[in-house]
Amino acid sequence: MEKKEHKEKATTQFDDWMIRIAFAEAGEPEMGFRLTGSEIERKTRLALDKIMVVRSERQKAEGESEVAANLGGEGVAAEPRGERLRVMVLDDEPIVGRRLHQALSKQGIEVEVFEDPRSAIARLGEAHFDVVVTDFRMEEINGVQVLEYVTAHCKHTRVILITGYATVEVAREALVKGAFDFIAKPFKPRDLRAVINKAALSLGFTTIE
Amino acid sequence: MNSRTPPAPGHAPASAVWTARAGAQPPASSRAVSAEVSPDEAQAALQERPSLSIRRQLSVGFLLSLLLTLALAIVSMLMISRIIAKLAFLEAATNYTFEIQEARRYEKNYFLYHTDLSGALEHVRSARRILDEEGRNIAAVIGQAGFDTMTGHLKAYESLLSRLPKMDRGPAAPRETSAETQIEGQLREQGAQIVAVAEDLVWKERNSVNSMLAISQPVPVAFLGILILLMVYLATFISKRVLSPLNRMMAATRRIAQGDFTPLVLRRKYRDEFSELAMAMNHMMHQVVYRQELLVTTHKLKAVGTLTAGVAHELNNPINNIILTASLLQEDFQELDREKCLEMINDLVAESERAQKIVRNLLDFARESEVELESHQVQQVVEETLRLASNQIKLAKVKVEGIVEEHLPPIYGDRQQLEQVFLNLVLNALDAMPEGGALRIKLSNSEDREFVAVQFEDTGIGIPKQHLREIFDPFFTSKKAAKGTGLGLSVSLGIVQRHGGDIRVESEVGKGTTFTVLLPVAKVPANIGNSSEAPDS
Ligand SMILES: Nc1ncnc2c1ncn2[C@@H]1O[C@H](COP(=O)(O)OP(=O)(O)O)[C@@H](O)[C@H]1O
Ligand SMILES: [Mg+2]
Repeated sequence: MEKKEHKEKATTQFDDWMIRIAFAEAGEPEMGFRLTGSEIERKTRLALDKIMVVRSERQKAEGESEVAANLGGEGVAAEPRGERLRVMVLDDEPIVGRRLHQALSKQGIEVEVFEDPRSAIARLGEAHFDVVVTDFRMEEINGVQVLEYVTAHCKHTRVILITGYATVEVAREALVKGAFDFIAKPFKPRDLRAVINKAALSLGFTTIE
Repeated sequence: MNSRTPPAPGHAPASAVWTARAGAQPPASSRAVSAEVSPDEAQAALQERPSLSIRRQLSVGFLLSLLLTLALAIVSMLMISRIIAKLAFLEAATNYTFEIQEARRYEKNYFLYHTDLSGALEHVRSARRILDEEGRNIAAVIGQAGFDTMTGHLKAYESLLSRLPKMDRGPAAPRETSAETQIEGQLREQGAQIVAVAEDLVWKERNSVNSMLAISQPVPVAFLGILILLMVYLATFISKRVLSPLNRMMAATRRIAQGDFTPLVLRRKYRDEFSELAMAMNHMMHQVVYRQELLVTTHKLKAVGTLTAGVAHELNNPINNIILTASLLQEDFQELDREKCLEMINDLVAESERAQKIVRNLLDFARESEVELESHQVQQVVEETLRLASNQIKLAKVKVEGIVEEHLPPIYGDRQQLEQVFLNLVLNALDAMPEGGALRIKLSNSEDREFVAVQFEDTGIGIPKQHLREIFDPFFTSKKAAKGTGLGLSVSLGIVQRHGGDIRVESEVGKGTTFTVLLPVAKVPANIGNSSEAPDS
């Protein structure tokens, strides 16, 4: 019961961002707090239209990469799809790494934790990960750069961005560049598990919970 | 040569790494910290004096000189009319004497050559007429009693004379009868007395006229002297009470224009128009200071707003850590061993403290507090500022480097306000480096060791020459509406000038900008509170 609720919440986070993006594009202050009456309706419809556009763009991009993967065969990354879900956690906060390791590995997920984006990227070149959970804001290399690396080099890897302070522009950039979803700080372990679960399902894994 | 001190404590990775260094002295200006007299005290002191307006004093002075002139005119007129009267009387007295003398001549001829007596009688009669006409004047000079004896003598003389012709006399020279001889003796006596009295009268009158003239001569001179004294007094009064305060007011306005808002205190014992002006000016300064404080607060709120975004973000990390850890503890409490539990609890405590620290800095800065002048180490104030702005610095991808000269003397000022100044310069530097860059903060002692110089050197976009003058103007900003208020530098300069310091700027477009804040070195604190006098006193 509770779990289902969380799943829904995790799903709507994406839409949440899409609405914000749409509002920003409509030239409104974020979330359009100052809108009233029919104007709200108009803006919301506009926003929803935008969401549909961005979504279809994203799906198209995914489909293309799928096709490319099927045709191209060997990518840089080794064997996709092992028995267990492999997750990389990248966050410069050591506690996040420790806790997520704790929370995910007890679910039977293979977790590798990194604090430094460089070594994380290096590791991405060596081993395959199904899901990369990365902090958005890090020194030197940020989450979007990691995302760019992953979409360029690891076709079957889903990227989940942890954001604390993401502007609409950055969110749009990330979504268009192919992030699977966002999760906003602060979050609970089960929030992240729900999103990872969703990613796993989209990769063809059976549910991990 | 360069030795490194450990980085600032706390979680802020952006706080500068200070490098100790000696040398490199910036120029220094020499402005003194102005003494603070509370505006209310000054105002009350001005109001307490007894009121004595310049207008009233001037009118009293001029009225006095008018009265003096009037009095002089009246006195002179009186004197002159008195003298004229005296002269007329003197003439009458002279005529009288003359008549008497004539009468006596006829009398003598009568006795010697037995001539006619009618001439004598005629002269006596005209003397009587004179006495009748001038009676009052004569009485005024010699008194009523004297006048009565005079008329008595004349009457007696006249009656004696009139008795003479009744006696028979032969055509040939007859010998005088004894009666005749007796009358002759009496006549002689009376005549002599009348002449003596008349001469005495003339003499007295002449004397009185002379003395009057003698008096009336110096009177106008004396009046003139008094008038001159009065004029001199009025002139000095005007210059003293009007011109000198005017000059001081002018000096005061000059001082005010330079940003010294010490209230005016006049050194007069009474209240006049200048006290009113001084009170008006004090009120004006009070208002200006109030507005300035309002601007300072406005700007501070704006800065707090900017910082809050960063703090909110920074706060997310410890909160996230806490939520993750606490939820896991909750989920796995049964399975976890004691050691793991303890580790997680320790994490909880540490992260809570971290969150507290992040918020406390901002709260300390945002809290409204009275201006408190204390002696501070500049380095500490700058470090505090950097901690405050650490999130912004991190977001802006700016590297901060600190260079500090050894043995810097402390400075004297209000910590919060100085933080506000430094914060604004740091935030401006960050704004000037949208692509990231380096901010070098250098603390040094000025050549004359009167000032501590705090230099903020950025590698940002720079300021075009034509804007260098304007950047300190209130509301001058080159930033987008929501980003810039244009208050930062004007407020900062105001604060620093009130501390007795100055802000200098050097910039090259495309290369970077250096702001130098000069703050006066703290002397013995007791001195600074009441050391300086207003420059006009
Ligand atoms: N370090 C700097 N580099 C370049 N320009 C600057 C710098 N500091 C200030 N300025 C210029 O001075 C202007 C006024 O600054 P300020 O008074 O702090 O107001 P604001 O920051 O709100 O615009 C800024 O808009 C900017 O054009
Ligand atoms: Mg500013």
